[in-house]
Amino acid sequence: MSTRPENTDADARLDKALNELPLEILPKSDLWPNISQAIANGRGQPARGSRRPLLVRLAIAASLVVVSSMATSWWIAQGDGRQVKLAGNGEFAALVGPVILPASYDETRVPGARYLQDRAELVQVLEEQILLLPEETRQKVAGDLLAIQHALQDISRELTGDPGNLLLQQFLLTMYRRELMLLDDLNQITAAVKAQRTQI
Amino acid sequence: MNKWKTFLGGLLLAAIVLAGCGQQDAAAPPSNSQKGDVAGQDIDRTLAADDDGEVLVSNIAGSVLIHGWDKKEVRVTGELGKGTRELVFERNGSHVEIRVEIEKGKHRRVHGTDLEIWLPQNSEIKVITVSADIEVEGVHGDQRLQSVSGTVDTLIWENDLEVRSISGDVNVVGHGHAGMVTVNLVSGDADIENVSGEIEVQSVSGDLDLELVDIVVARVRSTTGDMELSGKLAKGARVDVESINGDAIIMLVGPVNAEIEIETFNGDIDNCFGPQAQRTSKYAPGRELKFTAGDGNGEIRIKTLNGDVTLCKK
Repeated sequence: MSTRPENTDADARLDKALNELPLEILPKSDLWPNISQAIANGRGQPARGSRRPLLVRLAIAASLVVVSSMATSWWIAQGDGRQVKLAGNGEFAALVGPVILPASYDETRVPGARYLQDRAELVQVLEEQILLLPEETRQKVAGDLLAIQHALQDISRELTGDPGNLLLQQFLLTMYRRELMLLDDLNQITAAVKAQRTQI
Repeated sequence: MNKWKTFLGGLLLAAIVLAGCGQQDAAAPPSNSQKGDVAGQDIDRTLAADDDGEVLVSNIAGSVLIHGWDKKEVRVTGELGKGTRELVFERNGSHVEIRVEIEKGKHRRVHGTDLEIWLPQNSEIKVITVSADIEVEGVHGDQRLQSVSGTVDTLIWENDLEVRSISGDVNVVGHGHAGMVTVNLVSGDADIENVSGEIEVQSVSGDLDLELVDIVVARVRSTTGDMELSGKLAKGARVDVESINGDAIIMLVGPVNAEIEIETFNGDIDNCFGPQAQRTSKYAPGRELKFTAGDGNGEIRIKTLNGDVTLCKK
């Protein structure tokens, strides 16, 4: 369970690399003569034309905050799946997407052919069956699938920088399993709904 | 004139024949294909049933309220909603089925049917709904409850419980008896209290609040939801908690005897039992903590990716 042995090696390598870094970075040429001349000529002072009244600056700052908030809200709405309606036409397959893999990985730590086949079959079945769920529920499902995708992306990104981290490797496998289990749960529930509606 | 008499006689004969046909149709029992919308129809039907038989209930929208009682019969009452075709209520051996059927082509316009059901308290029940809420009380047999977006509320005793829900919330109240409780959620929250024994709860984004009595086995997993678990560790108890982006709070009651192992990739660990967590690396934010509390006969494992962990006494 412990990640100590791998991290001790990694720490040693990082220590060595850090020690080799220069303590200061010198410019290629001496810039001071030009700077002192600019100060003497008054070019170091801010131009009078650039000064704005306080109210104008506050208005600009406020509008920047509003624009930034709107952009953030839009981004969050995109990210949590509320915009995804899962209305058929390949939207489900597009949302689930291909399996997310880290940039570098151990073959034994990523899904095998059987997993990929099961996942592809579930995605294919759910493309139609998911339409049996109410739209609000489909949007929640989309948000949850995206949450898993984001978690897989986060773990994959961290693993790229720390490929030997056992905790990350375990979480990667956990999330692959969890995604498949979610798809399987959706399949079972929507299949039950389908059976309920075709018993007539 | 004779032609007119012949014509009028034929017309009269045709009218008599048609009238006779009409009477025959009205007297015939309706066939399955002729059943229409029975919205607003009151139901109050009863069937004899085994003491420990199986009862299956399915209802798309509305509600299902189930009571356990000491009679060997199943009673259903309620009012059928708009878009309903009929209520199927039948017994086959030890199985009783209650099924609200909807009219073809009206899947999107079904109005809720509220069912209230009384059944033998030792019955095993299986309830499937889409948006209908499920409420169960007084049932001592195993329960399998499944809803897409309806809320599930149930009281349990020593029976096993399995709940599956996509976006509905789940509330379970036990009586302290040991059983096997499995709750599988996607977006809904789970609130489970006064339950002992073996419990397994999974959620993607819902928050989990588990106030248990004696914990024998607890497996709790979440992706983005927060979780809080409390209870007393039984001898040899196993607790396995895993979260990706949610926080985990574990509050233990009474003496703690367990090997404890906590690991986070990017979260803090707050431990009230003595040892403090260590950084897993000088350059990474992760922390880990391993220690033995008491005689160490149990096992507690907690892992998070980005969530914080709190382990304390309640």
